[in-house]
Amino acid sequence: MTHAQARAIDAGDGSAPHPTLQPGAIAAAAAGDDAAWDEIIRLYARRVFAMAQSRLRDPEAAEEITQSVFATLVEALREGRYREDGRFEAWLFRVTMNRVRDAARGRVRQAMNTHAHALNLGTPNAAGPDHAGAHRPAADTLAALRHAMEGLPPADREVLELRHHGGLGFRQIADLLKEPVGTLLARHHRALRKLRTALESAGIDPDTLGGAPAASRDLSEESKP
Amino acid sequence: MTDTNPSPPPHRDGDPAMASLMDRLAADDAARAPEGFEARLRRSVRDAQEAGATPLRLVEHQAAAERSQRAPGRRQRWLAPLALAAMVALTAALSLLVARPAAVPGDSAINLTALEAELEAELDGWTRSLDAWTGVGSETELDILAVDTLAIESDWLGVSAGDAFPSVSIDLEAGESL
Repeated sequence: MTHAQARAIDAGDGSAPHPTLQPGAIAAAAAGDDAAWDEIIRLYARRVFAMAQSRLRDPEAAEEITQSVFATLVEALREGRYREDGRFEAWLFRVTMNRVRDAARGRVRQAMNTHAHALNLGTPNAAGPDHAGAHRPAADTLAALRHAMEGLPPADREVLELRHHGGLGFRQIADLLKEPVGTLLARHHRALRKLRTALESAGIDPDTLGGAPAASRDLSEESKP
Repeated sequence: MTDTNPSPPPHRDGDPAMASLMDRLAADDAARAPEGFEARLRRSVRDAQEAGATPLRLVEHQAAAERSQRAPGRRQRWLAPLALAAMVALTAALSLLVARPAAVPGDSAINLTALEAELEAELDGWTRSLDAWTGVGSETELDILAVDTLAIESDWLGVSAGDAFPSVSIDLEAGESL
């Protein structure tokens, strides 16, 4: 199955493209089951981190937000504030989105630095997993893409980040943002088109990048060879 | 004419090439997590579970946030409402003076001790409110604000600040703590 087909199926049935928790995992975590917590962290920690990192471009701040989101989760489960209704991911990423929004607002004053930082990609943590595999696009392509993301309206960017960094299905995003699925599909499509236009303006043809898609993403440290 | 090169079937992500590129960007962002990221997160979660306490890194984060609040840029932000509040406090203090029929600037009949006590009480109340409101707890700056306000009051009375408020343990003329 191609990446595109996998995506199409995802969007059709509303499920997320990432592995999801086993039934009962939340209840087990609430009861203090370490294995359940390990599973939650394995499945979601890097996705939460990626969303924060995408917006803030600051790994330390992104880690703080991840810590904060999980602290909220621990408290919510301990105090019975989270009611399991099969919408755990939407709940988790709503908390994440709110934290990221708050942090981003606090950084408006540093907008110029953020812009400069977006172009200064450096090298991803060498000790971390290489999720993109051997076909990672050139760093300048990702830099150009990040730069283009900076220019998107916040609503467009949020849908893209929830979809690709958070790994949510469109129905989950619709549930999270309280908007119709069709609206979000259209917004996502328009946002991708804007990014494509920006890349092409920079002399980059997204269709020629090729390589294996990053469809099967196990965003955990356990996936390291 | 038959289309021998049909477009790819409609796709929910609209643009598979761009969607794939976005996936790679997301993977690249995820890979930027600092070394030991998940281990620290597990430790924090375990600490929070066992102790019911705020995870250590959150405590550090809160401390950093408090430090940033005391940074010069931050201070300028909350000084604006303080200045506004000072004006309100000044107005309130002046209203006390205006309400006194015999209170004429420079009039020796003015009971400066009583007036001083009223003004101090008024300002003390304001500084406490401001302190609680801002949550900063920067008593030094609030004290300076009070000193400045008292100095203005003494000018209005037409007497020297030291004479007007002898019991205030600050140098009103210099406008700073002794």
